[in-house]
Amino acid sequence: MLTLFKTFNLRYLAKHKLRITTIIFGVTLGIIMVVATALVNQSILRSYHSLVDTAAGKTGLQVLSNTRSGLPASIADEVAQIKGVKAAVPVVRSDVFAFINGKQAGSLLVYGIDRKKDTNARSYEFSAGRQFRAGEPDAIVLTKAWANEKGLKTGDHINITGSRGFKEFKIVDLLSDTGPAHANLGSFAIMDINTARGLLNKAGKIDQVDVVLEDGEKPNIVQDRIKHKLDGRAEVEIPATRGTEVQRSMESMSIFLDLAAMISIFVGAFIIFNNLEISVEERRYGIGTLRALGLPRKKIFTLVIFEAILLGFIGSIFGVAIGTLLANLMSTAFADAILSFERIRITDLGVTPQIFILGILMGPVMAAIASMGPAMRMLRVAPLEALRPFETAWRPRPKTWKLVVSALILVIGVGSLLIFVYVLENNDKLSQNMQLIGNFILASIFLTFLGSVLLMPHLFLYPSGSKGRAHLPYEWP
Amino acid sequence: MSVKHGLLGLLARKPQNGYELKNAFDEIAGGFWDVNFGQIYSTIDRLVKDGLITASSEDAEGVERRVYQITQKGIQEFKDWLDKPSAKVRPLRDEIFVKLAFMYPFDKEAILQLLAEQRQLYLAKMAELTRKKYLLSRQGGSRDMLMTDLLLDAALFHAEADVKWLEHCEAKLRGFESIQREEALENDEIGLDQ
Amino acid sequence: MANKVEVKDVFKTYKRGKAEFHALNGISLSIKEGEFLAVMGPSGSGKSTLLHLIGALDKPTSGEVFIDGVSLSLLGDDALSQIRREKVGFIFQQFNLLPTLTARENILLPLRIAGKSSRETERYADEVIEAVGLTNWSSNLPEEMSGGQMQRVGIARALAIRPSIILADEPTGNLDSKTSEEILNLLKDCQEQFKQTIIMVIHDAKAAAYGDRIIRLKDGQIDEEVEAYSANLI
Ligand SMILES: Nc1ncnc2c1ncn2[C@@H]1O[C@H](COP(=O)(O)OP(=O)(O)OP(=O)(O)O)[C@@H](O)[C@H]1O
Ligand SMILES: [Mg+2]
Repeated sequence: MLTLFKTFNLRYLAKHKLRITTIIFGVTLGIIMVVATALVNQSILRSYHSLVDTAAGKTGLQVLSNTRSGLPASIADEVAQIKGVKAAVPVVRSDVFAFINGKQAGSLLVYGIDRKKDTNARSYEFSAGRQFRAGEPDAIVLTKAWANEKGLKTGDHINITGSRGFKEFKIVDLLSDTGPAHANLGSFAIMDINTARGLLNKAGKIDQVDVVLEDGEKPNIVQDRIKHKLDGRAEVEIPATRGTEVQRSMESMSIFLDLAAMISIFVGAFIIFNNLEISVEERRYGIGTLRALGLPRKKIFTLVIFEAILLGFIGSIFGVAIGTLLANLMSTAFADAILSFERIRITDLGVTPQIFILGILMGPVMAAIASMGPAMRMLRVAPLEALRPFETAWRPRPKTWKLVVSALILVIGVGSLLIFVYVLENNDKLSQNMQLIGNFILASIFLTFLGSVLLMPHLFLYPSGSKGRAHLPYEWP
Repeated sequence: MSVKHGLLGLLARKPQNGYELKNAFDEIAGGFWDVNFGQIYSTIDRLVKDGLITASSEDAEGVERRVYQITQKGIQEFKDWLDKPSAKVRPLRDEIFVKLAFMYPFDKEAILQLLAEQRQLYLAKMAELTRKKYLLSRQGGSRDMLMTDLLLDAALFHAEADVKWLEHCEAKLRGFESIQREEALENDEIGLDQ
Repeated sequence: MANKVEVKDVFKTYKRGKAEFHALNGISLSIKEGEFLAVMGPSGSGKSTLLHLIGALDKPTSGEVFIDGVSLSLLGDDALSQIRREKVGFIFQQFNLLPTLTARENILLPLRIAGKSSRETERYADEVIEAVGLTNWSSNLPEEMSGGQMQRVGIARALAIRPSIILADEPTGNLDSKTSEEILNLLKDCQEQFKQTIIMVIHDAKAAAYGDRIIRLKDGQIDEEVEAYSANLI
């Protein structure tokens, strides 16, 4: 079987490089976008969760600066007085760059915290139990995960870029892998609030106040009270609201990514379907010969499908590789555009086993599905078909109803796209509904491609005037 | 088509008597070309008369013992013959043709039958010659065998041509038959009209 | 001796538009094991059609074909495929070589399909290649060969697996008379040495004379039958 594959299939493939490249390209095209999209979506989702869920801790409300310069430190005490507030935890926070032995070691989200107050909002678990003393300068606590990744341990030194250049810190302890340690996907560090002020040149200032509410208090009622009291000096937000906003902008982005993935899958599938069909159909003569020499039908089927799977697999490998690369490019672009503003960074673009398997399997599966039709048709090739000269050989008969149905699908797809664009331009209310837009565009693009995929064989494969089966009355059960 | 040149050729190899000549001739002609002693000796007489061979006189006690030898003139004659292409076309003197010529107007079925039988006979004979040829080819090749093989080939090619011709006759006769039938039909119709 | 192939009252009908056309019109025929049968007949008389039915390449409209006593009409695709690859060596009128394979690969193809590729079987195949005079052409592609050479590849392919039945459709159609003779002698060898049964469709009488029996088809029927060696020498 394998030698047969080597001589029959591979020889053909070697001779028809363009066709094979096209098929592989089709698979790759589909998978690139799927993998890239999955990767970007995943990392967005992750960083979002890590930020909103873990760093916020028990925070019910956040008081945030509405200017770049931050809030006066006193505002925390002011907020603490308000009814319904259990604790007001001041935080100085910033993204900084870390250097180890003079080499860039990535960015860190640093929280400068008031040790005593902060426990109200977050519960840290220190692995060495040493922590840092209040006001201790040059002391930093990293997450265990991050330290391990960089090969650091307690007692090592690390340089942090502050607003006055480098400053050396000593790692006094590590955060165990729980709760806040997951913030920012582990690229997270804490230090004393005053140390942070010194580092970031924020004397007497804080960046936010995490407000922990009394049990049973409604966030929006307390929010109103704080707003009233502060009178516009700061923003007051419910972390969840903030979350929804972020979520919405990310959802719309995901929809467009999904859309792009869908389109590329369809274009890919379209290319695969047509070219596989032709490549198999071209070998009808050879397959008839193999049948005449005694190759059973089952094996013909296996040869065709196996070949498709092989091509799909090759396409998949390219797809996953290029897709990962593309994800990196895209994330940089997206992060610059929207996400940095929301303090969400795409940090982790690692290919997870799930995405890898999805990418690797998708090509073969796609190709196998595409080759199913031609493979089934090859099952019906009678041994005698090989004995006919090529011109009179059997061609698939173009069925009129198939032609009509595929044309109809294509028309509906294109039509709804046009109508939709028209409606969108004249209807503001509709254009706000991202979800609906996404779904609708998806549906019509799906129809357009389905239509053209179905229609394609009618244009290429069946030459006009071909009478299909009428040529060859061989009946083979 | 010449016993004369066959004998000259054999004598050019070595002198031999009439009996030996007959055997050597049979060996080469391989049974498909029947020559009897009468033909051999009458040809020898003519060759001696023409001075192409001489009979050795030393042993004269009976015709069969006389040994013949080729002369210079004989060798010349044989060489000339070898070099010259055959000019004569095989005369179509098959009796079947004569039968055909006399028979056709009277009995179509009989002539078709005759043609078929003749063809079958030819085929069967060709099969036998082919068998011989095959066995010969599997014995390895000496020069004499090659000669015999070529002669068998000649017989087979001729027979094949005859078979083809017979088939051709058959097809044409049948075609002619149907034309005549159509003509007859047309004549009938015309007759009816009038 | 047992009948290797038996054809019983076989009809093959093709539809031409609305009209029916009987390519085979009630043929019955027995071929003994080790027999060499030559099939003659004018063009369109159904010779190839008959050969295809015997080679399990097509099915009769009615009637039955038996190979080694087994009726082909009772068999499914797997069993028919097995007969095609193990019992029958088919020499096609149009050669039917795979254009992407070299001569030798084409010739070894049946061995590979049957999973019988071994040093021993390939050695026999190489002997066949030598016998058909293709030793110097074995690594050429069909497109680089002449019609006669391709025909010889087709012949070697049918013989390489040493099938018990050789079905040859005009095996010398593209060969000169000397090469034809070599090929026919080779077929005869197959019969003599390995007791292979041979059915050969052939136009010319000279080649048909290799058969032990010669039948003539006309309009899908057996028109006449000639036993060799029944006549006296000319
Ligand atoms: N698939 C087919 N459809 C219709 N008619 C067919 C088909 N195959 C063969 N025939 C007809 O059946 C008849 C017999 O064909 P076949 O090929 O057996 O002839 P043949 O004796 O091999 O002729 P040739 O010597 O030219 O090869 C022919 O008239 C042919 O037109
Ligand atoms: Mg034919």
